[in-house]
Amino acid sequence: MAFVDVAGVTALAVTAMNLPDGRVVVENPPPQLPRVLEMFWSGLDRIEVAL
Amino acid sequence: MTSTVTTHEAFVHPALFYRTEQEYTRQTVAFLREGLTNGEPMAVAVPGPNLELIKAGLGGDAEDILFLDMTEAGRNPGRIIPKVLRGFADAHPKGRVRIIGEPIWAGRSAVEYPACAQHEALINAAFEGRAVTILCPYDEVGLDPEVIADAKVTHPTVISGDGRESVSDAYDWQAVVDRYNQVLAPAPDAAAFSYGGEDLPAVRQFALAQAMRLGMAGERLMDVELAVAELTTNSVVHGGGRGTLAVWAEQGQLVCEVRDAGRLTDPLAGRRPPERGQLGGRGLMLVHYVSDLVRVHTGDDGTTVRFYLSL
Repeated sequence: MAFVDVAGVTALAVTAMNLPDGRVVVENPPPQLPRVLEMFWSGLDRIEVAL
Repeated sequence: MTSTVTTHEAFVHPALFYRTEQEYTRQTVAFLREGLTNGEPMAVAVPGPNLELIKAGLGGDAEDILFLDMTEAGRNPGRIIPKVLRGFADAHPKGRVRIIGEPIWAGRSAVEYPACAQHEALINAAFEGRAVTILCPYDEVGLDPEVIADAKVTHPTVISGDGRESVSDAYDWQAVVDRYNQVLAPAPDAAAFSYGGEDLPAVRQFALAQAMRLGMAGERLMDVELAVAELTTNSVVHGGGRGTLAVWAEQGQLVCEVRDAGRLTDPLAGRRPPERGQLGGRGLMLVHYVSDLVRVHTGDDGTTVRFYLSL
């Protein structure tokens, strides 16, 4: 995937926040993902970004 | 300085008109000491030199106050409400919070000013009914008389340099939002791309290519792509299904403009922070967050959104 917009990051963040336990690991995400996560979900530890 | 006129109101939003550094320091420090006495969480977002005046005036009492350089945090006036003001107030939901916000300083450009005035007006809508006090200093010597006159329209009360507070008879914040909803004439030398729903990836690539051609580099290219994606997607979903992107450079800034047939009916669109679990409501806010300036014109004939990034 080369690009993700705010709606795409939102879907991922909200899914991760609603997990009963555990976390989402995203490997080699498009560069927009960490930028948007930091902008709107700073400190969300339910998502691990693996570069 | 004590707020004798408006302390019974939930939201208190006076303008302070100062003429000297001494007046500035005396009135802002008195405002903050009143907050210290009341035990209120406090933030100060003003241009750097004025931050130093306030810190020096407060001495050791400055420790628990959040200080932000407004020329950085509020470079784009459109992000001051969600990021600076709501950011601080929402983090302190119990009891009254007290903020000094100085979004308009001598040196704001003519292109920036309409967005600054609209920001000051929209504070009244954003904090209606909330236990928040925001004092907005205005440099009566360095700013144009028109700016001072507008401040009397965007603030329900005004405080003079000697601390006298009075009700502003001119207060009518919606009038300022409307007055600065100014038509944005097309740039004659812009590179343009008309798009529909099937063209969203192509219009992003066009924006990136034009931004690079005009000298944009590094991480801000990603911000260009993100902001263009949000605005062009809005055109497709809410703005009649299609639009036109124009890209050009002026005064050392990259300018990207999206025109479509939609109409923005919510004056606080892009300035109302969503709950963390909310699915929508971040697109226009992202444009405000990454840009140095956003200008908007909306009406029956459609909407134009321009965002500016320094090259």
